[in-house]
Amino acid sequence: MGDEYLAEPEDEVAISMWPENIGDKHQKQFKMEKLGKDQDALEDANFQQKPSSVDLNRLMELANSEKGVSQMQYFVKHWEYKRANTARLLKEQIGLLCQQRKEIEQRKQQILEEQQFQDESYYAVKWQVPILDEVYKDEWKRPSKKNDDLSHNQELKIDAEYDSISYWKERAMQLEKTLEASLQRERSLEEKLEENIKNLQSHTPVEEFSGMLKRADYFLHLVLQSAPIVIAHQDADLRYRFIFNHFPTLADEDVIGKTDYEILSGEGIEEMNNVKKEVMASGKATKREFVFNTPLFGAKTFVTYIEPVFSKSGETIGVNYVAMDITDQVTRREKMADIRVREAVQKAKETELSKSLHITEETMRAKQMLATMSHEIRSPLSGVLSMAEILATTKLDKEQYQLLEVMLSSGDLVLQLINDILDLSKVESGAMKLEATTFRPREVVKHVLQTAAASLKKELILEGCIGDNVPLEVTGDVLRIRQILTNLISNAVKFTHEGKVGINLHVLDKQLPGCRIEGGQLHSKAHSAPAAAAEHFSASPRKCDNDTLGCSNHEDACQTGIPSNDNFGEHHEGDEVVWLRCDVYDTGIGIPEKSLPLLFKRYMQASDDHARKYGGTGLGLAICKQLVELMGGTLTVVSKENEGSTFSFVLPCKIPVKEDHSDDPDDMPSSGGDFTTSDIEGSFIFKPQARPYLLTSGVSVMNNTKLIGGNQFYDPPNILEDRKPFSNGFVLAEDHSTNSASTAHQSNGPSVSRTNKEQHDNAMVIELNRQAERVSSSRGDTTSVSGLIHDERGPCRVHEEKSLHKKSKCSPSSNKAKILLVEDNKVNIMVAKSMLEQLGHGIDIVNNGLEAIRAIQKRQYDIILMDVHMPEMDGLQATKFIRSFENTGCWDTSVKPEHDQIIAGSDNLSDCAHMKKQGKRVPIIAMTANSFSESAEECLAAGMDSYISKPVNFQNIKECLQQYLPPQ
Amino acid sequence: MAAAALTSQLNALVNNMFAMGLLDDQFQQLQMLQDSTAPDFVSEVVTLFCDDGERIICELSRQLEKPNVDFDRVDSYVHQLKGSSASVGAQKVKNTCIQFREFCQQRSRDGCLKTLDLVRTEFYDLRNKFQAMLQLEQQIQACYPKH
Repeated sequence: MGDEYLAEPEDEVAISMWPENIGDKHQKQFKMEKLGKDQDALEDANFQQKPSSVDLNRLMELANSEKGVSQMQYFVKHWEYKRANTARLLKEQIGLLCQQRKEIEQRKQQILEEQQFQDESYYAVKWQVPILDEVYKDEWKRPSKKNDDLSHNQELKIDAEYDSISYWKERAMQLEKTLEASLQRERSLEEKLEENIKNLQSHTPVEEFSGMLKRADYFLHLVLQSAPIVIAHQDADLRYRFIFNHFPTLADEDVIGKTDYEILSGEGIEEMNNVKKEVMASGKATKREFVFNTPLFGAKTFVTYIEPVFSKSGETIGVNYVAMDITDQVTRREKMADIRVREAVQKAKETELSKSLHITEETMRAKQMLATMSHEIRSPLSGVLSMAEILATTKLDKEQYQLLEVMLSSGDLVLQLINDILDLSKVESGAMKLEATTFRPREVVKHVLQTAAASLKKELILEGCIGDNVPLEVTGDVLRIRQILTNLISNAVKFTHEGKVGINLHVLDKQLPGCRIEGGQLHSKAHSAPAAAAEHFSASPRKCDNDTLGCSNHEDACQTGIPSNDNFGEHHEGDEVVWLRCDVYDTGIGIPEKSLPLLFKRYMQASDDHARKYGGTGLGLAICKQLVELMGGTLTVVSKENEGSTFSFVLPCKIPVKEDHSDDPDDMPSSGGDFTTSDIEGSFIFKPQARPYLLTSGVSVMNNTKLIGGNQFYDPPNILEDRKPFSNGFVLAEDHSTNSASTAHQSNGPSVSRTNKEQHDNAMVIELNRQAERVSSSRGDTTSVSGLIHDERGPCRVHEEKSLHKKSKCSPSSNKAKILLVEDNKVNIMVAKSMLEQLGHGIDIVNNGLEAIRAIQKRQYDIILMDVHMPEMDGLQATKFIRSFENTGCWDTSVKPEHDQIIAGSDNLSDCAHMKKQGKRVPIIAMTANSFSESAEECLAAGMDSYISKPVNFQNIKECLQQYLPPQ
Repeated sequence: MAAAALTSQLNALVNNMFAMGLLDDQFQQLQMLQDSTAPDFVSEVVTLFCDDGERIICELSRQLEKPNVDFDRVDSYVHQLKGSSASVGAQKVKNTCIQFREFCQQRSRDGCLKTLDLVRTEFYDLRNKFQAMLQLEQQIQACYPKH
């Protein structure tokens, strides 16, 4: 170390100023090299060093702060250490110099001694001198090795002649000079040493500090040169006093002495300044993120550490801050947050999904519950009604009979209501199915009005007006439409105290808006299918429903599904759709405007007062709306308080086409005639005074036709028509009063049943029969089906029914079908067997599916009644096997007939029968227990033709057999 | 006269059974099936139902006492009872059977035992009434030959 200092005296101070620890950590060479090579770094450092980049006065102030003091203390300590080090080094140097001096003294002594010797030998051996001189020269030179440069001019020039006096004198003088020079050199060295020492003493700590600071500054710049950070100090007024910014967008001169506001503008500046002020006020350091959006550097996010700077006295004199650009991180973080949010949303969705799944499950359970409930409610009610019907068959006087009538109709209404409430739930659960049947809108309107009139307790006029362009028959769910109308009418009546209530029905021609026919025009054309109407209703809507067979087919096909669905279309291709608009108007209390929005909500009434005054559940309109919407229509209301309301619904209805109408020219004219009469019947009025006569008319019907209650159920319009000629007070404009048998025969259902009724005239219709008809009557056209069948069977059938009533068995041989009953429950077998026997059929009974197959292998059956749930082999499995046999002609190996059975079978069966058996599809009817494990769909999917629900009763078994047994 | 009194008693009894919801209209179907060719039809069916029901209930309680209840088996027994009761119009028993089957499907032994008790009570109640009814019918029939 010492050598180095000697060799490069000018570096001595600088190098010793490097902090020891730092210097050790970073190799000096590397550092120097880097500094040397990297001109930019140097430049940057120099740039930052410029007085303009810092406010040095401010630095003095800062030095006075606590931090400054501690830094000073550090500097002083460091300086003392340095000083001790330097002193040690100087002592070493002094030691070195002393040694040199000693050597020089020694040499001097030697020279003097030699000189003396030469002087002596000069006199003794003069010739030896030159050689010695040479030696001497070398000797002399040796000690001055290090001061070569100083002694190189020692070449002696002696002009005098060798070995003369003058020579020696000269020589002595020269030596004297050399000695002097040597001494001088020694002195100068001493001087230099002293100077050095003086110099050392003159090195103040201040210089050293500034040096140190300078180095630290360099070093910091080195470290920070590529860091994306800004370091700054601001004074109490938040003016910049120092800034370090590696990527400066502004020159430092533009920054120093200015505030943020003066430099920047835009988003985030205000916030940052507020925080800085806060930091100064509270004296607590803080770390925050600021989002900037400035014209200077765009949108960036900085995380900023702000700390207050205190003076010695504890006052806040400014802030330091370090800011780092974290825009990328923020972007990434935001992306992450976004992903997390999306994840959360996804999760929420999943929860929602599982919730709705749960709700769906709940709904399913509720549905099951409903199925049970419906039974619970309906059963006792049907008990009451059955009893009432039984009562109706007993001997009653007129008054009792009337009362019973009311009782039955009310009961029916309740039953209907329960069905409706359940239907509403069905609609909402999506399980509602509409039945497409053909019906006559005029009759529906009339019937609804009649029903309303019958129970009218007010002085109101009920009127109905049906547009002439309304088709005679349309297809739709008549039951629902009637339900809607009844509901609306009963509402209208309920809220109307005087004036009138009425129904307006007309066709809303959406397809041909210009083609609407005015009433007058149409009257004249009503007989022959009007040209304009015919154009529109490509097949004439006047076409009568004389073809009851077609009707029954249609009925079979359209048990389910909304009017517009496909299976309907199969039978009636090219159906026209008309939009029927039905207005139900009244002159009642009206509905306040504010209540209108609530009107169709369930359990809502216009107001609580209304609810108290008029009663009701508030379900009616909700059901109406739901039903109308289900049928593809809309229900609207217009109302003015105290003036009245009009409820209007628009429904799409199909016009049925009778394909074989042209094949039956004989029936056409008469039926046409029939319908012409009813066709014109476009309006009815029920005046209040009519009411008192109602009872009388009823009685007259009783007397004249000897009908019993049940009949009135299924065809009230007819009865009413029958009644009118007698004595009622109903004013029926253009009444259709044709009673001739021929028209009746060719007209639709109700008329046919009337014919039938006439045949039965005096017969007591037994309860069973009546029940069947009652139920079927509730489905519009079904009446005509049962009517037809009655007709077809003719006297035999009548006889049978009569005998049934008399409880004597009648088994017409022609009717004897072979029935296989597959059932495992003994009680069920007994009941079913008894019923089938009473119906005059022969039956075989087996107890499970396998036995059923064995039985079929032995014998041929006309129909199979199959229980679904059975031991060994259930009904579905058995059915699959049977169907597969029918299709392929051979049994599945698992149920292949045993050998002896085949023989037995061939014994019994002729080849022909066998062939027939193979080709023919035997109807299989499931008997389901209506439990959820036995769905009707499953039965049909297994190849069954239909199903009847258990417990089997006369009605459903009879209907089923009629449908599937081949006509004898 | 005795016959008339008995008949009205019988009617009252049957009406009562309807009113209490023990029976539904299926029973009327049974009554309709009874005629001169099968004069004892109702009695036969009811007797069969009672015997069958008793057997099933015994079987059910035996099944449910087992440590490992075979619910499928229990379910099929209940199904039988439900079928029988539906056929004779024993409404109350049938409805309880529906509940019973739900418990079977839930594999709830406690629920099954509870419903079994209920079914048993209802069944024996019904059986007593049926027996009373049949007795009355017999008595009425016993009256008739004299007329």
